[in-house]
Amino acid sequence: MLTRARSVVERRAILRLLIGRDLKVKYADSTLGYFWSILDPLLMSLVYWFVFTVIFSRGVGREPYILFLLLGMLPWNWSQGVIHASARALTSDAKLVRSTNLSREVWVLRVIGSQAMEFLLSLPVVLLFVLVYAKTPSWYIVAFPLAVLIQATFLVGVGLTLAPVTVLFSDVQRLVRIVTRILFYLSPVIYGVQDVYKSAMPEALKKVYVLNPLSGIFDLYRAAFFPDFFVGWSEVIVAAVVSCAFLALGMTVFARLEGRVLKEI
Amino acid sequence: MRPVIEADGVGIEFHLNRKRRMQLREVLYRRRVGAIPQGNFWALRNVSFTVGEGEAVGLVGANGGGKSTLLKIIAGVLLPDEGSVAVHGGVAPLIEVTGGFVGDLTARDNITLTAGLHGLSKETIEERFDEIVEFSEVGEFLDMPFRHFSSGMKVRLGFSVVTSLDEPIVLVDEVLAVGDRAFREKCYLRMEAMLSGGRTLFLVSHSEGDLRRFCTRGLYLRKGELVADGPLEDTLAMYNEDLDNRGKR
Repeated sequence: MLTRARSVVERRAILRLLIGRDLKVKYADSTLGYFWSILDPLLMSLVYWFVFTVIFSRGVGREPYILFLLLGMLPWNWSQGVIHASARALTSDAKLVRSTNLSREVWVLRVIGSQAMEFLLSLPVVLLFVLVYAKTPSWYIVAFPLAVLIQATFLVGVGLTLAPVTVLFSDVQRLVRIVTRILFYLSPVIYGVQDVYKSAMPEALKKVYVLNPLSGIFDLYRAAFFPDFFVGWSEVIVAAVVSCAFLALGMTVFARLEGRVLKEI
Repeated sequence: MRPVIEADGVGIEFHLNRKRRMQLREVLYRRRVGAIPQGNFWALRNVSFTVGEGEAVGLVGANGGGKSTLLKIIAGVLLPDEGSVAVHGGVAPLIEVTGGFVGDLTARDNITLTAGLHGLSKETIEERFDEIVEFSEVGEFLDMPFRHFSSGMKVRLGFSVVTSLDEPIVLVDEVLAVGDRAFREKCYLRMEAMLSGGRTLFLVSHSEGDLRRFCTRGLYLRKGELVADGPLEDTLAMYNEDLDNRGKR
């Protein structure tokens, strides 16, 4: 497994080439490109902001709620994008995959990389609202890259698992769509981890809840601007451990199924 | 002679009845319903041989004999279920040469992308770009999306990108059958130049002319089994005898 990882690292130039091409297709070839990639999370955040502050009286999250939402929505969009795109990572460019002898992991990493770039490029939106509300960041902002790193680890694991499985089983894609929609509400996007802790949920279930690595990760992102809302490092550690477990799972599954996948595409 | 390709007991299995991809249900209920995929067949079985540096090997066999599959395994784009293939040195695969191209990108972008995917550095690509374009004769269409290319143009472009790689091993799968005569002659010359430069050649072809022109050694695959490995003329004689016998029956 280490040799596989090393050969991926050796091919990083190719990875850069592929990610560069993805971004080029998305941004350079359409003037509205960048706008589109921030429009989705921004609009969704506005909708939730409207529903939860204007229609319902909001009992979760923190003020300013729109900033709170965006700090969950943007990383969520990254996750969702990776999950959906990695399900097609090997089939959408099947001809490329079939005609080049690369470490096939590259095709999945490329998806995670280009979605990550999109996530990072959408962060100025957060900055905009920070300026609007004149929020000062807390020291936790130093940990922001750490949260990105943990999330990337988790997503690489998920992507490496999903990509070959969706090739071999035709109905997994549909299942994935349902699961992501459920996962959205089971992750602290429109509410925070602390809201879960304060809820009437049984204690045992709360422990299960934070096993979803996105809980600890999103909480760490938010700590940069909502430090009093941060539930603590133990949740982050759980997220990191679970993410590493996913990475190991993904690498194993991918290596196991690679031969069969190549016959199918 | 230093061995560059070592195949040891290579076998690969395909499922005959796998018309479509499986559904999860079929895996979960496999035992109960008894839907274990039946009718597996081995496209290749127990194939062992060694190719030395600078050798030119021709691969013959009837359709479905496993020639292309073997070539793909050597190229590393299929993985054997049994045995192993060790390839020492990089491979320039002239297999599905147009496969690496993306329809929406221009020829220019496609050259950069494909050459990059095959491991050429940015500087080398820039250096060889003009030569690639000149050889493929697509100069005036460089900024046209690849999907508008004629099939001949696609193959020409593919051929010239892959043959501009520095790899010591060249795999050729009947690409020479495409393209007009003038271009084919150009391809022959380039391949001869590559061979005299000490490259190892592995050629799949149904054309005895092509095989005789390039190869000295012949491998014969019959129904996934390697039945002959020797001087090209002997292998061709055996293959032709088989074909004649089949014709009589």
